Amino acid sequence: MNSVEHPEVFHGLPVLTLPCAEDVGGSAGSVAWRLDCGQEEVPFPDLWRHFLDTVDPAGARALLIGPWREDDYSVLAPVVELLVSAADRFTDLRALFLADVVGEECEVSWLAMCDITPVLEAFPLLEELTVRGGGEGVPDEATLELRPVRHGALKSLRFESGGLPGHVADYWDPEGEESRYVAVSE
Amino acid sequence: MSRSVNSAPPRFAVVGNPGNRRVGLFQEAVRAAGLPPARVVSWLDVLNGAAVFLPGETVRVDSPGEDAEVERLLRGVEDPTRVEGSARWYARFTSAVREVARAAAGSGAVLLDAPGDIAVLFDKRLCHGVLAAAGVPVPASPTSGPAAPPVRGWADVRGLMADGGMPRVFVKPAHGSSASGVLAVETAGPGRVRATTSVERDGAGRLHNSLRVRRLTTEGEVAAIVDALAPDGLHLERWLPKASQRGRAADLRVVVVDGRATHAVVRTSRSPMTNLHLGGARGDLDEARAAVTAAGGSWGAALAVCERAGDAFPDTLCVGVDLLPSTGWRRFAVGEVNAFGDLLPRLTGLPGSGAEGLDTYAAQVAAVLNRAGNHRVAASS
Repeated sequence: MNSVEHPEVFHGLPVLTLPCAEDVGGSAGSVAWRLDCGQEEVPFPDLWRHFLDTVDPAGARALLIGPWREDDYSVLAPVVELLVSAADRFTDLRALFLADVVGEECEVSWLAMCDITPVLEAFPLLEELTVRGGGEGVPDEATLELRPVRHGALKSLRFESGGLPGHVADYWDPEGEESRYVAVSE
Repeated sequence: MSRSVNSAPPRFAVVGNPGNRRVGLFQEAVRAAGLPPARVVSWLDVLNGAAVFLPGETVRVDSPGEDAEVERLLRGVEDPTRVEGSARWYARFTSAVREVARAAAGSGAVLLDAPGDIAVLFDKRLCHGVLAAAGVPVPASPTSGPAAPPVRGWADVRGLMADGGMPRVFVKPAHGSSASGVLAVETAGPGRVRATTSVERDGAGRLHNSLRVRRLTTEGEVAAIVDALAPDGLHLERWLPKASQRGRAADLRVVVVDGRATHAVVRTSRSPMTNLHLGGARGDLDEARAAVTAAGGSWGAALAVCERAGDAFPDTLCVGVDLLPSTGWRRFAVGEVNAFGDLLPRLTGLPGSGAEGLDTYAAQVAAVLNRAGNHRVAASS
């Protein structure tokens, strides 16, 4: 019924979820950091601040955004804004997963996505971008968007959803770069 | 008191359906303990007012399920697949259990399951209230306890979800079992409703349990089922995202015997319901323990939650606790406590539980022998 799941490994690194009971200081580049607001019901801005205070952003290579709302559905746009505003501190970020959320946490096709172009513009070293959700657009609500963009490092762009808005598929030209394009249906 | 100074071993009677596997497994455990076979008192006799107990008997009350005639008498419905009728089932069943207790007390037999506990365990609203009052972590519920307002239909469900800030809930018939009539409901804004359920509504509006879990995507479909379920009583609780094992949602069934968590299995599923008949499968217990430890949690603390849930029913020898691990295996909540949750054939006890090498039935027989032994020591000292 739901074939999507939380990856245990992302960009070749084991995934470690924050908030976490253990001391996680030190090896910023040895794991893929996953932020999850649902577990301890912390607001995303607080968790983001905790992440920046705990982990050296300059060493982080892979980042996953888990459930970013405590319980109710909320749009992804403020999360993207926070990521982009701190982009200059993430000088080695190679992989980003937006919305690592599964059906037990939220109906994936209802995830309130947004324009994800700013992350490609803000992280020039990004080699891998995965985006889950955005299958079922609702009038007057935010949906997944991707504007035409040139990127020098991206090798893998992966969308996982129950369908993609037509303009996202139109704008992505897989011939233009050395890239993979995968859409996984729910 | 005569039993406690008497050195004779306990003589068991079991109230159940003769020939049922539960009764058979209990008899095997009794035999393995070197005791004379338990005397079987059939639910049919109980319901016909013909149940008899003998002085000094230790009486185990087991499930009335899996017998067509008993089911018909309790539910008042001919078709065993029908979902409706659980309120009537509850009224008749709890009345039958009180009859068992009355007959047992009258002849000096001792019950292993208190009628008051059974009445709470078969009402999810009351059970939730008792667990919450005992400090057991439970999913938030707007229908907890005896004072909660009745849920009269889908409009009430939506209202309670909105008021409670709960966009995702389980809607359960208050007296249901085995996921019968359960819906996992998710809402987002006006008109957006999804539900996952094994309930099937036929052309005449009657509800049936099916073996297929399906998705409902229109509010009308969900409302029709909830409205048909509501007269039997509904319980709502927040749908906590469950931890996963190999991509499947996971929970645990933990059996608590005489206050100790003795047996545990992991159940996994691709749907929000983990019941085996709905496509659930046994998961890997060692993996679950490892996941709890890796998440910085403690397996002992998880079992302690179950024991605390068992302690809320001190007059009942054995309960089956459904333990819900949150995503990430860090936190636990108790989903349900089952009076007849010990049907885990051939599963042996957890290391350090005192029930190593014993199945759930043998563990209960051992607990009774242990109690009797303690009584004798207390009486002779």
